[in-house]
Amino acid sequence: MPSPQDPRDFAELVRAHERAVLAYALRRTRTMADAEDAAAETWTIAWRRRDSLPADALPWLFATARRVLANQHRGGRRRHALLERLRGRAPVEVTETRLGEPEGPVTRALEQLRPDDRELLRLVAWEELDHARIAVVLGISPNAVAIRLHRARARFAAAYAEVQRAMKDGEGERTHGSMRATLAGTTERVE
Amino acid sequence: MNQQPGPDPFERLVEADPVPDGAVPSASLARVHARIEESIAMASSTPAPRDRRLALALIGVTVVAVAAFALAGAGGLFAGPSAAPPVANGPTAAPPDDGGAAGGGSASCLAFDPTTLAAQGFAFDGTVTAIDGDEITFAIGRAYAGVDGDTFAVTDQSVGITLDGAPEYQVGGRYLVSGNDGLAWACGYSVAWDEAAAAVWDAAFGG
Repeated sequence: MPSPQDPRDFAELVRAHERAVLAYALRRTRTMADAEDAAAETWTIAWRRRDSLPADALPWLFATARRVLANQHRGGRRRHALLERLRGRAPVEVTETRLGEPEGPVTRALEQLRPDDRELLRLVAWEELDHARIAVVLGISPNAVAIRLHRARARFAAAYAEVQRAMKDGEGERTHGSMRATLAGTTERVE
Repeated sequence: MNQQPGPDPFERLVEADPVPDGAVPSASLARVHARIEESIAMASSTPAPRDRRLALALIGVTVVAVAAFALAGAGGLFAGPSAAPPVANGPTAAPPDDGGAAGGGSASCLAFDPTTLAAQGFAFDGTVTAIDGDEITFAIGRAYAGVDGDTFAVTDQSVGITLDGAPEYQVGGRYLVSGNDGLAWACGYSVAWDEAAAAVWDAAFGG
């Protein structure tokens, strides 16, 4: 990896990782605009720190994007709380949502996990990082990554099963309710 | 009852990737590029020639360029070692002149996006009347956007660094030029005039 101190090398760095950084942001934001903001801010920070970027810059870029997204999320919550106060209401918690599969069981199961577990699983499943690179992103040791990943997978599997059960129950409720309504209608017509 | 085990939930998570294979929208990537370029150009507007040079290099990468497939077909102006994959919705214009401008190093271009072209701060079809260092003055033949009057001066981003896709401006030459804040972009956003390129520009700016 060339040193990004040279302009051409920084341009090369951008070209090598721009898609990965934007994809990282897209996977964790609710709108395209938020993702683009985060990606642009990440690269601006990288440019400011170009003299001290690590040789393997991608984990560093993800870690930076993660902090940018966290700030963005906090800023969004503050704005929302302010708006609610101006309207004379109690602030309502803003939950994190993402582009794609907003109502799917995977998303619902992920939402039930702690943020660190959620991020760990995404880095493995979506960014396809190995333990060493994940360790850089999360600021923990590779050994800790292995241990946490094992537990996170188990928690995710449990949450996924629970969500699926809940969704089936919900479907059952709706189906049962629908049948009752149909029967009621039939009865009325008979009567 | 002998129930089959369900699929591994982790596999479901992998399949639920909101951006499969990291395939980000090219328009979104172009907007991010523009933002990076803007940030660096602003920070580089004062002193440090190194910073300005960096901004120019990044713009070369940034500025979403002539269709990758066109470049590949032309023998590969887009020759970087980690080149982004071609983008299918690029224009069909001929690749721009490779200026081979003086200066060390080079930067390659990304995929051209007509939407980005249409959003440029200025765009025109003009003929070079004077070149003074990196400042180039044009007689305006047709103003597409952001141009008032008969002449227009721009700063050529490719001076000092070789940008793939940067036109080699010459007095008397006719060019399609676009950019922002007085800076003419390369990489397909400023090209030597020809009918194919002009057709792309006409379409981008609504005929």
